[in-house]
Amino acid sequence: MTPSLEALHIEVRIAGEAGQGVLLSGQMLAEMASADGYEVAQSARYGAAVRGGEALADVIVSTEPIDFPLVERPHYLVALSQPTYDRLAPAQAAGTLVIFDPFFVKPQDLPSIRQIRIPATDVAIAELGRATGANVVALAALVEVSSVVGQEAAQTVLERAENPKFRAANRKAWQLGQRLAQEA
Amino acid sequence: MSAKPVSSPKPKVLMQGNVAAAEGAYRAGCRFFAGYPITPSSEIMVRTGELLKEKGGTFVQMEDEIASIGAVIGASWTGVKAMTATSGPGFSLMQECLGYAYFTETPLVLIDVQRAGPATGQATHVGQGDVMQVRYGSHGDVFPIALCPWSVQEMYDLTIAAFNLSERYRVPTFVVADEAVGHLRENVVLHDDFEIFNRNRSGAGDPFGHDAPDGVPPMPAYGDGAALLVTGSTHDSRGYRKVDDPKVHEALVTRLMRKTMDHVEEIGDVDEYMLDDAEVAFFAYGISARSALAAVNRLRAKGVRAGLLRPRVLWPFPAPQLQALGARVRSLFVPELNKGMIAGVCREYVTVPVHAINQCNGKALSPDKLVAFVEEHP
Amino acid sequence: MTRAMEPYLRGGLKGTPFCPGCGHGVLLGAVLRAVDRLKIKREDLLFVSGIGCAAWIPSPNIAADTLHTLHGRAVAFATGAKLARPELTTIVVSGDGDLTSIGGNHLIHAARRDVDLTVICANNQIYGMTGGQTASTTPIGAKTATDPTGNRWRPFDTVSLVLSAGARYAARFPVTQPGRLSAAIETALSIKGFTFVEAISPCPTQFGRRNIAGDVSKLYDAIAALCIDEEQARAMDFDTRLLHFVTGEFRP
Repeated sequence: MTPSLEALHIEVRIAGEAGQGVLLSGQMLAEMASADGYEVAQSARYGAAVRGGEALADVIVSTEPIDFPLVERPHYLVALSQPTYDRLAPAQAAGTLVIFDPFFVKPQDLPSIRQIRIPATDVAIAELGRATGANVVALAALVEVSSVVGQEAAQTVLERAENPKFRAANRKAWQLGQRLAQEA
Repeated sequence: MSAKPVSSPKPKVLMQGNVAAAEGAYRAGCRFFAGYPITPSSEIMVRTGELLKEKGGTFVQMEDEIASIGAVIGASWTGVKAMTATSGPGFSLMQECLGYAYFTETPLVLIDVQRAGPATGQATHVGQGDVMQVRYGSHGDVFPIALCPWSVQEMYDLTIAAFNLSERYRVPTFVVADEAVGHLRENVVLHDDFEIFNRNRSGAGDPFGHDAPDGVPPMPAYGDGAALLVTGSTHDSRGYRKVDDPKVHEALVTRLMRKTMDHVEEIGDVDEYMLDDAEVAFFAYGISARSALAAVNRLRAKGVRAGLLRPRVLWPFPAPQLQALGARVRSLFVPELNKGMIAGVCREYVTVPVHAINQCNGKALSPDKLVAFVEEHP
Repeated sequence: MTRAMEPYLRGGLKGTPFCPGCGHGVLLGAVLRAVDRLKIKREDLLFVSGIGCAAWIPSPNIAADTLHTLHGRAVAFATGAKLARPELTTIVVSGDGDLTSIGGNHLIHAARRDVDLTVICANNQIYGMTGGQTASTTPIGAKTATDPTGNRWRPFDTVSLVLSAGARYAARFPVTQPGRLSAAIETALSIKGFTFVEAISPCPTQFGRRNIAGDVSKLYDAIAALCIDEEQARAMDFDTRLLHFVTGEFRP
């Protein structure tokens, strides 16, 4: 576990459209937190259609047993679609960090929250040759800015992919996300 | 008893609730699954199918839910532990066969992952509207057993418990989960040190006999040479139809009732949290009990002496524990994702005010809403 | 039924519950003779039935494992039992309404899956136990409790139905030809996979009294006269054929 003497309770929400890899990102983050020794609760909210429609992936990471397992007040919001950004970002409590992908999201002026622009989709297309790795790029950026899970645990989970092609792609996407977060 | 830790102190594996239920079923000895896809329970079918194909057992996807539960009943009489999983609409379709399973004393486990109903409702969103259907869904008098998990750990643990109870009492046993717990991912320990109960398959005594002190007759299997007569019509101890004999019907319905209701203490299982000095208490199950647990913690932080009584076994109803609680607290709060189904039952057993906190919007109750409600109803 | 079949019957039963002139007793004999010829041991047999007069053919009469299920569900229950314990010879015996109307979906899906079952459909062309209502097998024009002026809907051709759904073998014979009926059941039981035998079994009480003047023998005469073979059927137009029973053995 990431060394820390303090009790930690972090809530993360990844929001986008079904089919964008939102639910997969949430699952990966939860796996990373679990690998890091934390208590974890991961849930999702989506509609009946397999493609399209709003998809939310929620993760709670905690050093303590989690009483209510659903996200109530996210500390971090990753917005990957305009409708979810417009609905969720303005409603966030002061101090929330919002990460948005400018490929999908035109940000609003929201003074009470912090916002970080992470062009995950643009970078994924340019560097990975496809947009489908954008979710991992965004997740890497989130982990880089939040330290919600340790890098070692993150790598452990990324290396779990059985297909060596995916492992290599994940590794590259992760480095791109880290770089974007450092530049942001 | 204090509340078990919601997440395990020794995290082993991050797992979805529905998947944990499938793992529990296999661990309990389930070797037959028949089912039909339905959100939000389908992961149970998929994972159980994988386990049975990998490790041995029979898996079949049937043409509908009626066929699924029918196949489970047929399989159970061959001596195999059998299960299905479904959600509201499928559960409704299964009710006639479930009455048959009850009346023929067929052990089986059904996991119902509740979604927002009635009708198709909101298939991907949570509800708790099946808690009366599980109790009264069949025509005629039935006294089934129903367990309500509130965590991924309990999706595993209570599925195992359900198989044990079903085999022990020859009663169809239900795991009444909900979408929130079924789709939740938490750390879970897949304990391997459970006691596993298997039905009494001996040929000694009639298969529907009234002689056993606990009312549970032995159950030989098809192929054992017992020339079994199994019928959903009223039957005598050997299984012969007695469709006009008033005494046989009365005796059978009564014995089946007593099989469950004379063993409420043995079957029952409640979890108590912060009740020793509680002045107000929640009575809650499933995901709403997680809402209540957080509400208790937040109320305690504000100096309100709140507690939680949580039935792991909802049916038979934990009347003794609720009555005892009703004599100690000032008022009772029953949060549910329906319009007050279990709150109404609670009112039969306590004289203190019972406040129903109901929500039917496809979302779990927020702990803050419960805190505010308690503060508004001191 | 002859005394030779007594070992297959439960002791202590005071005869069958069937009406005088009902064909179901003959069908019971035809089933047991087929089982006897194949030397299937009683403890290796499972009989599954639904609800209705025909569902009482095996239960409780036959001294083997029996599963008397709900209306329409015999094939579903049998599928589970057979898959869980494949070594049991599993035979479904039930009525036309039970198997093709309320249970029609289970029937065609069991045929599609090629579950190793033999389904024997006792077709009396009417709902007997409930008082003579129209069935999905009632001929056009036949009078029933619910169609006293004559049924307007076409009946299922159950043999074509199960063959198109994937059955490996289907046969149709009336109880007036018990030898051929029993031989067909024997053949069906010998084939691995889904097999089906329709037994035309007259119901004097509900069908006969509404449709055939005279005593029970007239009903049997009428049934026998409507039985045709495939060659005769080919000479008929579709609507005429539907008023007859095309007897014989059929394979996909």
